[in-house]
Amino acid sequence: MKNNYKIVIDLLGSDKGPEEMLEGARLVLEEFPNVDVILSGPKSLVDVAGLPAGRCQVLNAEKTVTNYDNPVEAFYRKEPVSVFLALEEAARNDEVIGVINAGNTGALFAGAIRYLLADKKVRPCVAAILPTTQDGFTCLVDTGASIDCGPVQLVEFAHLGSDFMKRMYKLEAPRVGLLSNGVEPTKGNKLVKEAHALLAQDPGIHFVGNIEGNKTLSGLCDVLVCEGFAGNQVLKNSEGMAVNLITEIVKYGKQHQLPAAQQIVAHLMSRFDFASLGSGVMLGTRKPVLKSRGSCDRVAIKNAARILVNLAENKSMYDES
Amino acid sequence: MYERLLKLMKVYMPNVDLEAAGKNARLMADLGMDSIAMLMLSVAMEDEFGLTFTEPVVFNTVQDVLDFLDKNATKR
Repeated sequence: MKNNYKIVIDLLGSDKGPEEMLEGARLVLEEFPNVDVILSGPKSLVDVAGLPAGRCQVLNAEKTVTNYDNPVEAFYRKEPVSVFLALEEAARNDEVIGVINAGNTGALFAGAIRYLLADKKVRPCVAAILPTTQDGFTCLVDTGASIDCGPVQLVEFAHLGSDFMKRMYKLEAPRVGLLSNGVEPTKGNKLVKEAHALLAQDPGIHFVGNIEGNKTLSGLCDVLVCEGFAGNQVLKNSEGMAVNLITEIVKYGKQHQLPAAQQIVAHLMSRFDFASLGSGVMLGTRKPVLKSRGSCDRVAIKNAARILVNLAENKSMYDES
Repeated sequence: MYERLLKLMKVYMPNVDLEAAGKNARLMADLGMDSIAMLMLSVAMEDEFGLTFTEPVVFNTVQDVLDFLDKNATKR
């Protein structure tokens, strides 16, 4: 186990406030003795949090970018902005293995483009890692960063998603699927048909064809490519459906006094708990940038840190299960 | 300058016929650029034309970008 990894955590912008992010940082320090944290946010809060001083640095910033701000305009503010300080630190500090943020996505994106872009010709995207019924995971890309895409961009997403799944899950040739309304190559809108043709002839992609919406969590592919608008619908619909099913099982179990229902719910929560699965992953950056949801809790921050540590140590996420 | 700008823009808009659209085309309304594409273009312009953006600059049309470059580019 290598020492001296540093993870930058942006304390500001999450729904539960900086105190919850600080508790997430505390869990990270407890769980990973080889990781120190760099906290971007109000120093006054960090000072009273009681975190071990030797393993915790502060980038002092009282402000962040809210959902009412224009992220690009915010970038040029004279005062320190926590999300931008966090990304700048990641860009300049070789010990930093990644950034965790739960604030404004546009600001995170803008800052990542400014400081951490891997290839100035390739537009980054945000992937979500979804559990499948085959006990594996599918990387859904894009989940909303690029609402309107061209076919070339979908091919770029396929490459970024494949590279990520190779590193994250040690897959030799991740299977790439294309979200469509039918499995046949002739199905789909203009964008999907053109992207299908490009993916099918790309030697760097293990393309397995179109995937329909009802098969997104079936484990038929390791990377599911779509434009951000559709990807966001898939993500939120999957989450909503999982929550509804679990709620229904809980309700039915209580009504009919079925003890087994609790076990089933516990199992489903462990597999399909999107909150603890944690974060969207920005792809196309020089270092991993994890976008936790605004409502995330301290456990999600710890889980996000695990992703960063595994990526840094070149370990498969399957080693954890 | 125009040709260099078009070359950069094509990276972010491979499906748009920029030559046909012309210099008066509006970046967002006509060419379909979004804020991320604008930001990536500005980062690329800094390298290509030797610029440093220190404040947000709003470009409406391709011609606006060219006017800005005329005034500010250090790599010509």
